[in-house]
Amino acid sequence: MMMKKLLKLIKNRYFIFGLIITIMFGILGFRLAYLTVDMGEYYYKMAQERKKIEVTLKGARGNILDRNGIPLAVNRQIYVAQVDRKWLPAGDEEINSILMQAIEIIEQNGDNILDNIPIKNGVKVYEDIVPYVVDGYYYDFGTEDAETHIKRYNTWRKEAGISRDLPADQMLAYLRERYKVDPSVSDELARKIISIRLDMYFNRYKQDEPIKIAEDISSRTVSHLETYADELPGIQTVIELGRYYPYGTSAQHIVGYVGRITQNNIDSYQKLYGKSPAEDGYNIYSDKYGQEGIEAYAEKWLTGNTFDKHGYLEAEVDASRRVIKVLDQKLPKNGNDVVLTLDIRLQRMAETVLAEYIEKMREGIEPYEGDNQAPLANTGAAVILDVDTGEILAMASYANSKYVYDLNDFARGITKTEYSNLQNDPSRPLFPIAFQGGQLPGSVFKMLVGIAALEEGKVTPGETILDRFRLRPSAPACSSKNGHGRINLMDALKVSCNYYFTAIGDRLNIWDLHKWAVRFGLHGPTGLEILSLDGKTDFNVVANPDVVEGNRRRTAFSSVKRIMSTKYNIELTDEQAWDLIDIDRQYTKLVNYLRDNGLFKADDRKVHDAANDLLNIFYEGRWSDWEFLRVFIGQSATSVTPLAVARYIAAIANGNRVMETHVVKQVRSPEGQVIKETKPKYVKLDIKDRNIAAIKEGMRRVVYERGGTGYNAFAGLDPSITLGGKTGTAQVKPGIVERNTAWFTAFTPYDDPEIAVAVVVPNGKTAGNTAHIARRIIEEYYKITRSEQGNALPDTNELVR
Amino acid sequence: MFDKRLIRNFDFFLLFLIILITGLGLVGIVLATRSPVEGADGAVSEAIGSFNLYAVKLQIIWFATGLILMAIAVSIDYHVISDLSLYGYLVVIGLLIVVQFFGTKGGGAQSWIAIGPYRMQPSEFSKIAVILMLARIISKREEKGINNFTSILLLLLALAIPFVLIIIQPDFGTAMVLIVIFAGMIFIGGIKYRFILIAICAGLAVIPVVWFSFLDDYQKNRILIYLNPGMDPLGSGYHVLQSIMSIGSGQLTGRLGSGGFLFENMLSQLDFLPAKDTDFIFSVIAEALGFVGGITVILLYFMLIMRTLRTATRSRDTLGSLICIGVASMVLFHVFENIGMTMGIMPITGIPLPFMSYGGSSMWTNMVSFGLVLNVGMRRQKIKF
Repeated sequence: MMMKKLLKLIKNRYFIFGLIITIMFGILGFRLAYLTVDMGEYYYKMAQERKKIEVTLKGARGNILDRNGIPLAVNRQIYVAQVDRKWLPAGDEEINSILMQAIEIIEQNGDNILDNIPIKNGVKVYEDIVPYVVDGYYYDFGTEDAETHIKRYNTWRKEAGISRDLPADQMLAYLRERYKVDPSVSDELARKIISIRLDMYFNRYKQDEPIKIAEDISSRTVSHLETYADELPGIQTVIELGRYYPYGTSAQHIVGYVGRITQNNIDSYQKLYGKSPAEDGYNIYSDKYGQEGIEAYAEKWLTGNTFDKHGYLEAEVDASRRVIKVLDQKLPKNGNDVVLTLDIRLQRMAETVLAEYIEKMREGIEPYEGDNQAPLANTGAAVILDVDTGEILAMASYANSKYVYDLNDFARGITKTEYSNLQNDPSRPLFPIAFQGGQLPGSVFKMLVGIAALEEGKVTPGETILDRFRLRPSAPACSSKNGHGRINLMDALKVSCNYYFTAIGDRLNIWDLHKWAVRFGLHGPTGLEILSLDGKTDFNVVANPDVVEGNRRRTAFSSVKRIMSTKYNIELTDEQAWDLIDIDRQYTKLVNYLRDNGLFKADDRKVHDAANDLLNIFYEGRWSDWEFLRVFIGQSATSVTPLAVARYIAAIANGNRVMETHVVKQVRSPEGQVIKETKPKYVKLDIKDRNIAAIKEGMRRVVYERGGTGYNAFAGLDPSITLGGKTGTAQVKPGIVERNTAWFTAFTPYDDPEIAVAVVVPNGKTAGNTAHIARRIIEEYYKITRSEQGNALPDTNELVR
Repeated sequence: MFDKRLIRNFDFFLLFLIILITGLGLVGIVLATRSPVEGADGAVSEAIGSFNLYAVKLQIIWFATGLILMAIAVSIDYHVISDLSLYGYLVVIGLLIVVQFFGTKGGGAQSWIAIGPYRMQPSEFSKIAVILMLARIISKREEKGINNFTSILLLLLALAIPFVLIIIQPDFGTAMVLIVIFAGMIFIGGIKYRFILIAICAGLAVIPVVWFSFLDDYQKNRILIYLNPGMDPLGSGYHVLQSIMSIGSGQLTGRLGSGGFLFENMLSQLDFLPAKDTDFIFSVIAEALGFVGGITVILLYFMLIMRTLRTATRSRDTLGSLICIGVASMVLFHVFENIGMTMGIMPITGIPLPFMSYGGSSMWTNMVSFGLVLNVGMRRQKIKF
């Protein structure tokens, strides 16, 4: 009977339902008892500790100063918009909605959202043998190298917890889904939201650390964000130290800028120190790092982010993270200041003069009227070098760009559009032509030929040579149709006689010339600090058979690939292309190679057309007597930067030393103690004084004697200014004078020189055009350095801005 | 018309439980929204001034308006309500569709309809609509039973329409509540164990498919973290660990009872808890009142649900029983999921704790639901005219 009753009870579904309820509440009760009674003390202690926070304090970045202590890069207070995750609601949709409103407010007020996601939108040109263009979403990992790209892509996916392998647009769609971004939100806005969400994900183990969403926002943006603070929980505006460049449009390529740490930075740091910057105390998601120029080169001195600079703050905080009580603290150390050799007054002067004169040159305005107008002149550079120390006093790169290269745009986080505007401008404003723009030297090369011939005993200063217009049929012609008559070295420099220099060059072995080119630093690095950075190259090459052959093979390589692809529809592997170049001008072997490798069928007659095309390519650009003679007038495969030329002129000016050029004068601790001082480094030349004197005399005649190539441009010069100079007009495209590269180099004063000056204007038509620029720079140099009045700063109001 | 027995059969104890629970909730909201006091030197006036009564006032207003709604739900015979339930059901479906196309996204998921400055959430009301609809279908087909094809199809259909509309909002929490309501009601409705077994097996079979083909890494991650919160202490697991720590630190009698609580800032006030005044209110109570407070809350809910179950067994017809079971299932799931989540034994969803969590829509839904339960209890004897 009992049994039956129990069975009936069990069969009763209400009973079962009640039993389930009881069990579930039992679970809750037991769990509560476990947490509070069993584990209570443990959690209580843990909870007590949680109220203490420990914050790492980082030092301010050091300043960059010019040689007179005028600041070129400093810190100033900026407003930053950031997300404090503890105040955010829990749901994806709620978070997105808050971010969306914040982004809208920030952008409405003309500020930019930090763009950290490697998925970008726009037109991307892929450089390949046949370049192709993608318009839309693409991955940008800051590298053109396919292998690095894939490596970084995979690292990024791993860090972001993405196992899928998708093209950029689909990846964006996938991330939209992952972060539940509403479908009605535009892709571009979604991309910005996802960028912030990913930053939050990357920093998920640092929940206390806020995530920056915009830097250097205007006070209007701040007040808007504060007005809507109630509707935007988690969005805060705070004051931080940001980088400011008082002369943001001057010496940009030298000073450089800071930005968020990129994968490139991490890779080169790894290469340099064998560890990630994170292991040295950087927060790789939020700290600033030098990206270009001295900011990059002097990162290790400037930064306040490394462990040795860290301080800490241990405190009790309240809910709004206000510090209630400081328990312990250690103040951080600021980064060191870097003093440059630049004189910002000279730098700005050189930049202004270049801009003013090249514009006149382009427009044909006096002194560039008539034949002197150079319609294609768009770029230029000027270098002022201290001849005794190798210190760079000014190094200006000019580009006639619609868009201004302002370092402050980079410091606040340049937008993709602003950046590609600068990058795609044909005048290349981001390119440091002054120290990386290799140019044909033309006649400014002739002093080197003269010195080499003198020192090798092939000629004496007094020896005269009869100008016969052409040394031999394969030699370049002289500029004067009737020749210069009997002429010695000094007069040959004065009139820039091609015959004379091919004649003395012909007496020289090409390798003897090369030896002198290396000694004078025209072949090899200039020593400039910035160029020692990872990925930077210093291109100074003087032509010799090896250089020409190397160039020929490189050109042949792409020509061979292109012609086989476009004309015969055959895609050669790199190896095959090099094989063909190695076979060289052996017709039968070429045909056999093409057949044996299955590129052409045995009975295909077209193989002969292909072999002939290859032969045509292989005959081009070889070292020859013509090429040999052209080296001595600064043509052929020679390519030197204005900085290298200035240093070579400085060596002539001081008579016996080739200086290593440098732009860092010293590194000082915040307290003013000198930590590192750049000592002049030089290679001693063993040149006879009378030989140097002859070269200098030639350079004096260029400027001061009637008929000298620089005479007209320097007519009526203030007699207290003395100099020696040399013009150079290099033919880039034979027959097209508008494409000539125009040079003028000088040292001043003539006796006991202080500075060497090199000015170049690609597409400047004729050297006389640059002589005007050099003259104005030298005149201004003396105005600034000699008169007390000249010590006034060029733009004092900019400093207090 | 009005019968004295209606008053006599009114379950005052149930109403008393609801008032007690709401009262405890108010205490929790007060503690949660109080601004932290600065150190032990703060003056008493400052400590008192730190209370922020804004949220409390609103919650009381919602409770009061909820009482009116409850009174309406009590006074109309539930048979009449049931006869009208099809229209109510259709209106809710209509609102869900409207939300899909015109809903505001301001609050996040597309689940709100803005009327002037007020916003309402039709998915909340869908719970009541589904309870009434299912109860009506099952009771109408009492003779045929529900273990036949048409009945099961009809029931599934009644569930599926709002379920699908809610899951695409997307609001997984409420969708889960609907499933639980459905399960509880067909169980009491007499579904064969065979079908239950089939449903469980099918569910188990679907899990790996969903895991490997429908879930994103991110969602998988969330589930894995739920299974092991320590895995990601400051990421998704952060909320759970903070909540567990806050509950545990309450120990036996709570930090409120340890004296000087006015000056001691509790974890939950220091904003270590997310969405503290709505979803994590249990953590606040447990931290302040310890095991004693926490177990009181659990017992109150236990009594509330058992009392509802008792009303179901004593109802005069199947319709009444099923309405009560639907409400009991709904509250059971809400309570178990919400409290379970704060103690780390259930995954985190945005499901509020009935009567305690701060919020209007949820308060009204629960008041109306229990209005129906009281309604059923009141009319357990046939009224003779």
